[in-house]
Amino acid sequence: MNIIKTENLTKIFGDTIAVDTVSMHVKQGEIYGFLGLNGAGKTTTIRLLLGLIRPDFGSCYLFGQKPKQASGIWNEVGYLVETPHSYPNLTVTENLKVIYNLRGLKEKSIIKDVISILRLTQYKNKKEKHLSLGNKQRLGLAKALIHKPKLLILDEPVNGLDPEGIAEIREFLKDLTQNHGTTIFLSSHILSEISKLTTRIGIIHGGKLIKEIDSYELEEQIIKKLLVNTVDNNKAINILNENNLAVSINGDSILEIAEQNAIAHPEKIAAILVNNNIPPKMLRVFEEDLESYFLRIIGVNNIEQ
Amino acid sequence: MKQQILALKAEILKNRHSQITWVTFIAFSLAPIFGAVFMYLMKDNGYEGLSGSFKSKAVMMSFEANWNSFLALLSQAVGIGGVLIFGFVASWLFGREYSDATAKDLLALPISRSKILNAKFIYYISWCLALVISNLLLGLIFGFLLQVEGWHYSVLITNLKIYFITTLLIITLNTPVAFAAIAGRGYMAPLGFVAVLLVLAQIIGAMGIGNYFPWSVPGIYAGAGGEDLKIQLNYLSFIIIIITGIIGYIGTILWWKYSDQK
Repeated sequence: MNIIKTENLTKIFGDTIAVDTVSMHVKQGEIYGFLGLNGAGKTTTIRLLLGLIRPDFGSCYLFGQKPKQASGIWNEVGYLVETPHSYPNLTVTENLKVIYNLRGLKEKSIIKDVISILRLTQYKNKKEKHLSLGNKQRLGLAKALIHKPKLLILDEPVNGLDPEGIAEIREFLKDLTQNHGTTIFLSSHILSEISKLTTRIGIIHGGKLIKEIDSYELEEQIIKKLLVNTVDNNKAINILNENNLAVSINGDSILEIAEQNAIAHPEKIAAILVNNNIPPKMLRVFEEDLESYFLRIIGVNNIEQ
Repeated sequence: MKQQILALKAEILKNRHSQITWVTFIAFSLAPIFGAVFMYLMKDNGYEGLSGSFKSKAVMMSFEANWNSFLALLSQAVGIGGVLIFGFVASWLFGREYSDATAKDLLALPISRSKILNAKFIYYISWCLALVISNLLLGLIFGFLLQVEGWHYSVLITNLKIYFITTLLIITLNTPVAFAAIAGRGYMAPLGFVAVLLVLAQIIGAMGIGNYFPWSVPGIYAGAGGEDLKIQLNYLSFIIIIITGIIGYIGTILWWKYSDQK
């Protein structure tokens, strides 16, 4: 079942096409990572999904319904858009009570529960304006999670969190998906986080969804190569060619071998070179990170080679 | 109805620790305090107890050291000061969601946006009524402490009628301020709007055509422009206020429901 579905979703601000015919779908239980540079259209897409702005063309659906105001679907949706803000003069508990009332929730214990889950217990009586950025983020997440939604739409959810906090939230979101069937749609500029967390990734650039890929496919598409440097690279190329290995030389005069066997067993390459009296000065497996992959996909020419 | 009550509970909670509340009460209470000072200075020596522009103003307005004048002064303070203070309250209540950047949290909920705004309007009306009742009580306390002359039940009733009608007129007139806060996304735009209205109300009132400018009418009705201006008020003066209030209310609701929340 598609929890999120968009069809040619388009939003235009003046002369700018902020979101350009985006069609995508997110299935139940997926963690969908939404990648894009600043201004790519991520937040505008999220605002369209939440009904905060109206599309100029196309449509979007949550749980098969258009995102109408005061609809029952909002009982199933939790969200966090851009930097989380709360009422600065209210405490953590009071801020959650505001949302508790507006959502018409009935069990008071859920406020305490969500405070505990987001590890805000020691700050529960602290005013929002006195919280650290990380704890403000946790409060934002608590507001999004208080009603145990089936769909979480999160814009940069780990912004401002320290590494320990990021890992904690990552595990928490994974648990939500694996043990509670929650579907998560999240954007993040911390690309390594997306790769660790998501089951599928959509890349948006200039308002267009330019790529959708499953996380396991991503693993296959990422460039891997063995980088080799020796005292005599010309001789090394000849030797390696004699051993049926295709070798190229990059702009930094470093040898590159793209063959899977060589990447999997760099020690065998080292042995060949040593046996031919040209021991390697450097031998390193290069694996393109998600950021490089992302930049390659959107055509920005500054990829580490 | 249940959702409306919950929205109101949320609105009350939001304002629990608001220092603005006390600021408005202190600012608004200056009217009965200064009125009491006038009473005290004039009590024994009439106009001779005053000096400078205070004396001229008191003479111009036929202000006397009695309950009728004192209560009329409180109504005039609502008619003029209310535009500022009630406008300030509306600016804060409706603009804060943008200034605090919390508006987006209110827009994708199972409760309708109009109920959230209605809760704000209810809170706004309650806040304004609390302000005028507190001023009235302060005025009565000061008046009795100073043993102001001329106390009579009929004087109180006549002035209370003017006092509360003036209050209702000002409350009604501030719905466009709420609109300015929502459309201007913060409290700076509506505060600017209030400042402009206040200046216009004075200028247009002084030009003698204030009976058709909504924000001049309450002051004139309260007697701030003297009896000559007050008798110029007619049904149209009040109908204009009601229409302004309705347009402001509907505009606020429609804007929040149908405009893009970028």
